[in-house]
Amino acid sequence: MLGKLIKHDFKYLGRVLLPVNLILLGLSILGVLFAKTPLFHSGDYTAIAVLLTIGYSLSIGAAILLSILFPILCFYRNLFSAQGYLSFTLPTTPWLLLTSKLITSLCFAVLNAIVILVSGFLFILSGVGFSSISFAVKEYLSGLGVQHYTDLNGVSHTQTTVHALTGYDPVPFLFVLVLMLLIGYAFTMLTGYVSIAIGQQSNKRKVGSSIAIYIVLSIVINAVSSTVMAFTNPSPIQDITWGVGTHISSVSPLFSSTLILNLILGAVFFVVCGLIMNKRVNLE
Amino acid sequence: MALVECRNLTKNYGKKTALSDVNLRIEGGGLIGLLGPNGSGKTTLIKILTGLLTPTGGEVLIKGNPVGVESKKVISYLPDHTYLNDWMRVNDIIRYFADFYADFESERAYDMLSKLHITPTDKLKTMSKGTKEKVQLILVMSRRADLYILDEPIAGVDPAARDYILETIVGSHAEYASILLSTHLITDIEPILDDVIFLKDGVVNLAAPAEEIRRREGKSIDALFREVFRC
Repeated sequence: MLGKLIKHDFKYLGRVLLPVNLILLGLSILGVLFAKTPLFHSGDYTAIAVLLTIGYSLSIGAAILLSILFPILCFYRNLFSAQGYLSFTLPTTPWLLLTSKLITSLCFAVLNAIVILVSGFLFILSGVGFSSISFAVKEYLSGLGVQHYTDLNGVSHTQTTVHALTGYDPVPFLFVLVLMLLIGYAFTMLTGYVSIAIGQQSNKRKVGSSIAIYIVLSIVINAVSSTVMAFTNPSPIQDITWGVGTHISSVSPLFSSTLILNLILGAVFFVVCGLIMNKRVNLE
Repeated sequence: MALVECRNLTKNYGKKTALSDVNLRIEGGGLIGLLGPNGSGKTTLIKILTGLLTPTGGEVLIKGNPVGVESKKVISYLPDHTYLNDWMRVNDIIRYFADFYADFESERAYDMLSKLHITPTDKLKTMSKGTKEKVQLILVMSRRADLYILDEPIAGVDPAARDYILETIVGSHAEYASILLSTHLITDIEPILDDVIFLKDGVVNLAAPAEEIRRREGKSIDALFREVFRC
């Protein structure tokens, strides 16, 4: 049953999110092809180059925003508007309805991220991107950026730049980053879902109530996150010094605490949303 | 085992009581009219039977099971408004129903659509309100359910369409299936009613076979309704 729900949710979200990502990819390819032509470097076509760059930047922003807002809007429409009469009378549980929506929106978020990465790499590999970004990526991929430093006891150490910055070696860092992004996105979705579910409990202005609850939740979450981070990483982050230098602190406690907090709060929101959908739905 | 059994069913919305201690038993095979004025609790009762609302007290059993996944498999529900995605084509919705309901018969749906000259490739948003309602009715009646719950299926449609809808309702279900039909248009459905339930202020006022009521009261169900629910 979950598979069927995911299939139909994919169709529901895909009719907007797939074209958006295709447009983004298309713009990237167009931009790269255009950049390869001598016209790009000609002064006469500076305006086109600038417009393409602006268009590309806007399309990335639009794609990211849509990948967050559209699934939340679809969650509301599919479950808490007239369509809810169909969804909630399907021979399935509200928990599966919720899980399907979360999984589908995550998949489109991953697709969106891949498209943005691919389009970014297309520009970099074509030599169009900023030389410093290109250099940094090459450095990262080749495992370079090794740093030497001496600790407070006078012992010499060697570590990669990534480790100096984050407390993780390059490959684990990538894994942690991807995990953080995925969990962070799921948490954002669940915050939207639970706001809608709680907002539906009010007798009047259900949409307005949902928005208000979202704002309140966001403020509370920010306050809790800041407090947790302050306790988990009291030391200030120091600047990196190349070569033989001073001790460098890492940001790995920040990553860990953010990850754990998002996981815990996300789980709580999932349960609360599921309970409301199970016991307290009252469609108008 | 009864098809539907409500025991001391109560639903409160804050201080307002929508259903109060409702005890009902619906056996398989028959057309039951759920009749009552606006605000009597008909839609609340329907929503509880279909799993769209949770009761405050009491219990509901559908073929011996509490309301849930199993009951939704045997209930085919038509709400009193459009609940389908406007951007979908009729074809897509048929595939959707076929995917989720094992008892859905696509051929029957296409057959009924062709009789009404509705093109399966048309999008719902291009259809009139009446046509959308017919599409919804076709989808609901194309299932081989044990219980059909139809909330105001003939309100807001023209008399000719009303006749078609009633013919479809009567002709499309299996003999063992029951149809629970909620409506205000009693004169239109009275000829086809087997049983009647009167709901007043959340309480079952009357529940009996239609023929028995007519014989006992010496009047039509419509006349009795006007008398019982006089303003």
